[in-house]
Amino acid sequence: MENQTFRSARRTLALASVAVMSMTAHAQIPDLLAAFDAGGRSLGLGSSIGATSSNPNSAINNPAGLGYANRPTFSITFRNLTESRSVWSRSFVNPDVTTDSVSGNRSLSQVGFTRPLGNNSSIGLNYSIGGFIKDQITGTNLVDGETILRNYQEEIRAKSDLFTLAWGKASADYRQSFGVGLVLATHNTRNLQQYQLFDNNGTPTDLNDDTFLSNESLNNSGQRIGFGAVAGLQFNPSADTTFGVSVRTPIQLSGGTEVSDYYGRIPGKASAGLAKRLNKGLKSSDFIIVGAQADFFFGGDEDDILSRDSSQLAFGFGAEYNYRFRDAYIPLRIGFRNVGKGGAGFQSTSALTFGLGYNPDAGSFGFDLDFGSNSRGGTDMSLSLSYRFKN
Amino acid sequence: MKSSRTILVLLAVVAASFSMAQAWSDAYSDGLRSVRDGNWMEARANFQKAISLRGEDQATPTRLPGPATEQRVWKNGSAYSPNFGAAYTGYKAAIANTNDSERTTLMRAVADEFEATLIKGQGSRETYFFLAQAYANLRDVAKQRDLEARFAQAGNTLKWKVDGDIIAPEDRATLESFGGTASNNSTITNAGSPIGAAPGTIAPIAEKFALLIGNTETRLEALKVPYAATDVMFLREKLVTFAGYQEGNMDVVTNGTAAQIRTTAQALADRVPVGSTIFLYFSGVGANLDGKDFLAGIDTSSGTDSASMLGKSDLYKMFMAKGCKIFAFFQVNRPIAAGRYFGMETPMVGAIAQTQATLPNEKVNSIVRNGAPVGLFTDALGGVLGEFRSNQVPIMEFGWRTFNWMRGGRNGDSGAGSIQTMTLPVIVNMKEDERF
Repeated sequence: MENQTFRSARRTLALASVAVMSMTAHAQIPDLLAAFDAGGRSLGLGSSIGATSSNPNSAINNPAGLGYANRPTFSITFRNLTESRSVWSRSFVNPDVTTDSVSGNRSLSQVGFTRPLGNNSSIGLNYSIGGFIKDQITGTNLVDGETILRNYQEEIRAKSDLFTLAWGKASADYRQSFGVGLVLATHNTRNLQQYQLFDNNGTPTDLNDDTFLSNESLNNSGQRIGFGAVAGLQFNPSADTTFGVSVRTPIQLSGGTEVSDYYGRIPGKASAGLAKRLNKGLKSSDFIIVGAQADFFFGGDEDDILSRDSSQLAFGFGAEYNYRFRDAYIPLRIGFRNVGKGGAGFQSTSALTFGLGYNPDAGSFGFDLDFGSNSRGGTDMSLSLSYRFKN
Repeated sequence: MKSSRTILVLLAVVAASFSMAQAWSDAYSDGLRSVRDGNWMEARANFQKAISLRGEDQATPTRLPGPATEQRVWKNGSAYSPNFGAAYTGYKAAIANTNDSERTTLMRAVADEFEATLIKGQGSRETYFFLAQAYANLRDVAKQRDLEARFAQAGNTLKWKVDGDIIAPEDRATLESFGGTASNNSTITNAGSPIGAAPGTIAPIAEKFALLIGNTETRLEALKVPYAATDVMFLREKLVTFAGYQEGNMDVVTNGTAAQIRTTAQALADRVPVGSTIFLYFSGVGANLDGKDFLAGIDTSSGTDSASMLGKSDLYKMFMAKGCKIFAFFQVNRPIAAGRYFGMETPMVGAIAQTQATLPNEKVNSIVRNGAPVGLFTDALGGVLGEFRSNQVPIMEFGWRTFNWMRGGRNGDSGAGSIQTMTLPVIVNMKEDERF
């Protein structure tokens, strides 16, 4: 149970729009509005290898990784979209709030393709979910000055989809690589609200003498679009060590006037990661990959209903044991990720992650199944499939 | 000014690092490209260049530099096999070379290169197979047997992988027929014997069959082949010992009528699996009537009596109906009568290789072996089979070697070059290196 300070007040029955602006700030939503992990292998490693990887998702995570792609590769990922359930009590202006995460529905969260162009360069086209929240709020007998709200129900859903076209090139000795990309972002917002409004007749604690005033409802939805850019570098000072840095610009959204007050700008993201391969294991052919990554989100808009602080920090680390089994590797991974609070109405969240995969030598396919156990409740699950075409 | 110069230098360094090629893989890729084009000597040169840049073969995937997070391997995890590749392409080039001296020199070098890989412990089934072929080509029976012994000793411990992309499709298919594979990653499983189960006897192959016909008896005395029946038995032993034919897969007709030959042939044709290999040998009297070849039975009383003969094409058809590859050898006198002679008829359909023991208008002759006459042609067939000691004998190579044997190339003891010249195989709808 936590208390939350309102950013805006709601005082009159007619100002429904004002109510909309305030309601989203009431919850304590696990903050994945900008720091959503689209799933796959990265999820199982605590989101610790995005900046140091080379796969179709590199187009958005770090396009420098595309420089190492030596075969056309397709990947697709499905995962749950984490939701939250909030219960308000006592006051509408300053409610007592309880919020828990739930796993949510499963959805396509990433699909991407890379194609080598020769000369150690590749192009990548990728779609991934960059941010997602869905909070369902319920409450009753919520006092708001001289009125009282009963059977209060609200759903706020916001989802950022990132479509990236990127190009990366590695040096001939593959010691370094750089990449750039163009990002098209679409952001969909939906806000539903309904409740019955009563006059409490000056006795907010006496629920028996209230006078019904009206049924109130709200339904706002729309899509906003914006463009941004992403660029990154990867360095391999040795065969077993990789540094990666990437920066994605903030993306100013436009359009969708009905929801324009909700989210005006997708924050930029700066990532820095380190990955190390340890050639150790039960067998000589086994190896371990450890990774760590920090993501810094910046440039969000504090005045939005889905408010963004000037910065948000997330970090993760993980380890992957690649077990050699016949002519394949079976990666077993574990990780931890923490996402800091990035705006009013949100709260930090963390997850213990784990997963496994299967990558045969001769086959052109691979799959990864990864999980995350969230500190706020709910379990993440991601299934990722990849296919490498012949050159 | 100073800073701009520094920037230029840095840019130059970066540009250089981004343009430097990975030379060994380029040379290797060029080698594979040449293999695909069938330019064997060019392929050999490219593999040798790759060796000069990265000398040792590697059976396991070559890990490429790149992100530590990715298991990034060269050529989709393929083995790196430039030494094997140089030797193999040299072998292919040697086979294609019609100059005896050049061919022998190159084949020796190839054999040495294959041996060098074995000494390094890089024994793959592919290496054993092609080295055995090289020794057979060099007629080095002692080394062939030594290799067979080493192969038998190695047994199923051969785990070394070579890059299957180096091997030509027809050779890959041959290797796969032994139960192993020569795939891209050349994973060897359930390997059979590519060069023989043990010294002395070549591993039999179930899909190979033989029909051997020898008619010494005949009413056509002028065309008689006196050693025909005994030649059949001589050749039968050679096929079993040196060429991987199972005794149960061989039907023999000695001194048979046309009807008996037909019955035996049809019975064999009925039981062979579809697509089998048929070794067909006929020694006796043959004739060509109206452009069609016939095999005479012992009851044939006239050289123009086709009713008592079996049409050669009719014999072929029995096996063609099963999609068999037919390797036919005829030891028949070939007098020209009315402008016609046995062997004039060349099949137009089916997969057939047809070889005659002598030229048109010439007679077949014999040599004494162990106190008994053996047809020169049959003697050469058996001798070359003994040299090959393989259950996958390439037909044209076999034809040339038999040709040379008859010319006296084999120890010069047959001396046949002056009295009998065989024909090379006439091949219809099959490759020159189709194997029997």
